[in-house]
Amino acid sequence: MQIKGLRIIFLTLFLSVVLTFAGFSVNAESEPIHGGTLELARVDDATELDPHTTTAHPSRRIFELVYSNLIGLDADMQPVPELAESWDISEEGDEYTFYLRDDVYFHNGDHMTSEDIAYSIERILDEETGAAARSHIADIENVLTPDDYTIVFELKSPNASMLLHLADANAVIVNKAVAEADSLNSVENTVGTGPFQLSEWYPDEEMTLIRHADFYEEDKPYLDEIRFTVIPEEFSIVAGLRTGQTDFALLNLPTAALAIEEQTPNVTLSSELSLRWTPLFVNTEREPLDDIRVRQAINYAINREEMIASAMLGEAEPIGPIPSSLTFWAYDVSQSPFYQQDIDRAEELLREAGYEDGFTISINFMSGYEEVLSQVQVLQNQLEKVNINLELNSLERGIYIDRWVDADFDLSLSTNAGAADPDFYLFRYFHSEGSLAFIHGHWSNDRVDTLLEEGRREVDEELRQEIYLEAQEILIEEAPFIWLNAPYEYFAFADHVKGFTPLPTGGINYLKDVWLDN
Amino acid sequence: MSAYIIRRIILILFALVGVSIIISLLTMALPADYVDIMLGTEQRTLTETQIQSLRSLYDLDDSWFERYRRWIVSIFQGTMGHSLRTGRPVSTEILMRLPVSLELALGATIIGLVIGVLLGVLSAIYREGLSDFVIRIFGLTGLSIPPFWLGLMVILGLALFFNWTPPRGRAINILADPIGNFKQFIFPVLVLSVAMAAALMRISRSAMLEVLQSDYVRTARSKGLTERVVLIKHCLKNAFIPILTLASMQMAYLIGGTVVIESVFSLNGIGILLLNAVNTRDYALVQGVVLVITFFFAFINLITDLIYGFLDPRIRYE
Repeated sequence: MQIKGLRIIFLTLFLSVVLTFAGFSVNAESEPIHGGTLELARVDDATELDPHTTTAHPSRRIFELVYSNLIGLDADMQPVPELAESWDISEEGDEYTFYLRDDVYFHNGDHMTSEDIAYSIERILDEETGAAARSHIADIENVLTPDDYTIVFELKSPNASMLLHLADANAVIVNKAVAEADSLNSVENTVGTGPFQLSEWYPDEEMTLIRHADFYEEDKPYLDEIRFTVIPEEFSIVAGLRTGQTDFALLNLPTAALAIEEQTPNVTLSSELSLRWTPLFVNTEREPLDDIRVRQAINYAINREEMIASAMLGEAEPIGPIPSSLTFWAYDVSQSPFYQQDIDRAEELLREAGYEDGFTISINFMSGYEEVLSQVQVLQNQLEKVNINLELNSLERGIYIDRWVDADFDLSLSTNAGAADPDFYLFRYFHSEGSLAFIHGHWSNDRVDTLLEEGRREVDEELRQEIYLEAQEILIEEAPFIWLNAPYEYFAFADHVKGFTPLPTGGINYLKDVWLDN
Repeated sequence: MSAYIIRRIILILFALVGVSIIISLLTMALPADYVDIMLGTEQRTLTETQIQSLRSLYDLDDSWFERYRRWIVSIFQGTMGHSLRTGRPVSTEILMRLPVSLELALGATIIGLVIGVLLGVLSAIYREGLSDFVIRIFGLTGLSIPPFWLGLMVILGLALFFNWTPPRGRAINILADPIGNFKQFIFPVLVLSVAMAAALMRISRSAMLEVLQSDYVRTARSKGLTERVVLIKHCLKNAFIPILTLASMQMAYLIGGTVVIESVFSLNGIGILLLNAVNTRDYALVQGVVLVITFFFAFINLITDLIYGFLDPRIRYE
C-alpha cells in the first residue's frame, strides 16, 4: 500500500500539474469569534478511551482536549497552570503542594475537588490499573488532601521531572465517582474537565467533540464542535484541505507536508521539530558491537545529513541523546566529532578492532513505514563503504515489538515517543537500574549512573543542564545507541483557522484557543 | 435441485467450522498479543503485576480451547464475541461495515460486467480491427494500473480540477440519503471497476472468439437468423459461463479485498476492519471478519453454480 516510488511519481505530478498560487494573505489581529465546527482530519483513530492505560497517540490527542492535567505545558515545554493555579516545591524537592482552582466542573456537572486529583494519581499508581504513567510518577509516596482545593504529594526522593510528568496526556485527572463505578473505556464514561466533551464516536470513521460550556477558562473554547475524520491516506487528506472539506489536519509524511507547502493555497503548514526521536538501538552484548571501537566506527561511517536529505526529503534534524526540540537540554551535536562523517577514521577503528575485512550484522525495523525503510537503505549504503554488510529485517509490528522487548537484534531502528523532560530520554535507558537498560544489553558507566541520579534530584535548572550535557557527551562517545535524527510534527490548517499554538509533543491542547474567521 | 441446495448448504457449514478452527489457531499463533501491541516498546517500563492485570482485563490468559469454546457459544448468541478495542459485539462491528463492502463489491462487479462484456464482445466481433486494438490496450492498462494509484489520482484530480472531494467520514446510508451515498461511492466504485472491466473484457473476448468459430453459430447464421440474435442468444449465452465464473470470484474477493481503496477514499468496509484487527491482535474481530468473508465466498459460489444451470440446461444438479 505504501509504495515509495508511486509517491514520488505522484508528488512530481502533483507539483507539476498545478499552478502555484500567490502566498499568504496578511491577517490583521482581530477578536476571537465564537461558534463553528472545526473539521479535523488525521490518518489514525483513537484506539481506546481509558486515559491512564491507552498510550496510543491518536487517543492521547483526544485526552488532551477532553481531560485536564494538574499543570499544562506551553509551547516551550514550560509548566503553566491548568487545574492547579499555583504550586510550591519544598526546598529538598520532596514535597509538592498544588493550589487548585475552585471553579472547575466535569462534563457531567460534578464539581472537581482535590478528591478527584488524589483518586486519579492513586489510580495511576495502583498496579492493578496497568497505567503507563506509573513508572514516571512512582516516586510519589503519599497523596494528602488538606482541603478541597489543596493537594500535597510527598515523594520518596526528590524528582525534578515530576512536574513535566504530571502534564502528560496519560496523567490526566478523571472523575472519581465515574471511575469508581465503571470502566473508563467508553464514550459515556469519558467525563473530563477539559475544553471539549466527547459526544459521539464511530471507530475508524468519525469522532465528535462538543464545547464544554462550563470550562474553567473564561470564554473558551471558541469552537462549538470539533469533528475528527479518519482518512488513512495522507495525500487524500491534502486533497481535502485543498477543497476546503478539511480545516485542520495532523500529518506525518514529509512528502504530504511538502505538497501542502508548495501547492495548497490558503493552507498554512506548521512544522514543529518533534520530541520523537530516531536512534539506532545497538545490542552491545553481541559481537562485534560489544567493541566500543566498532560502535564508534559506525558513528563515523554514518552521514546523518545525507540520510535526512535523501530518505526524509530534508525534513528532520540530527540529534544527540536528547532531541534538539528540547533546546535547553540538548547537546549541540554539530560540535561533536562523532557527528562528522570520517571514513578514514572509521576504517582505522575497524582495523584496530580486528575487523579490517568487515563483517555482517542485521537491522530490525517495522514494515509499512516508508521513511523508516528509506533510512535503513541509506544506512546500508553508507556502512557498505567501510565493509560493513547490513542485512535488512523488515518485520511486522507485533514481531518487531516481540524482538525489541527481548533485545533480540544486532541493530534496531524505530522512531520513538518522547517527553518534555531530559530524564525521560536518559535514565530509563542508561542508568544501570533503568527499566529499559536491557535494550542495549546492559551497557553501563559509573559516571553516567552518578550524573543521571544527580540530574533527577537537581532542582536548579542551570546545574541540571550541565549534568545532562556531560552525560550526553559520554553517551555519544560510548555509543550504546547511535542517535540519528528527529522528525517534525506537522499541523496543517486553513487560513480561516486562527489562534493555534503547535506543540513539539504533537499535542493539540491549544485547540481550546482556536476560532474560525469565516 | 432443492436436495442439491441443502447438500451444498451443509457443505458450507462444514467449511465454516473448518475455517473457524483454523483461524482461531492462527490468531493464537500470531506473535505478540493485544497487550503487547498496545504497550509497544514501553512494555518493560510496566511492572509484572501491571501487565498481568491488563492481560486478565482482556481475557488473554485463557487456553486455546477455552477461547474457542467461548467464541463458538457467542456465535450462537449472535454476538460473535466482543472487540477488545471497542468492547462492542463483533457482529455489531461487522454489520456496521458490511454495507460499505457489499456496495463497493456489487457496484464494481455490475459496472465491470457491463463495460467488460460490452467491450469484450465488440473486440471479438471486430477482431484485429482498430477498435479491437484500442480495447485490448484498455484491457492491458486497466489490469496494470494499481487501484491505489488510480484512486489517489482520482481524488487529486477531483480536488485540482473541480475543487471537490467526495464526502468522507461516516458511510452514508443508501436508503437514507441516496444522493449523498452516490457522491461518496461513485468514484471508488468506478476505480474498482476498471480492473474488473479489464479482466472481464479479456475473458469475454476469448470466450466469444471461441464460440464464434463453433459449428452451431455457423448453423444459426446459415438458418438466416439476424446477426444480433446470433450474437446475443447463441454466442453470448454460451460464452457467459467463464465470464460469470471470473466475475463471481472477483466479487467474492472484493468483499474483503478493497482495503487500499477504502483507505484512499476513507470508506470503512470490512477490509480495513480486518487489517486493523490483525494489526492490533483484536482476536474475536479477526475471527469474526474472516468467518464472514468465508461465508460470502461460499455463498457467492453457490449462487454462481445455480446460475450455471440457468445458462446451460445441460448442467444438472444431482
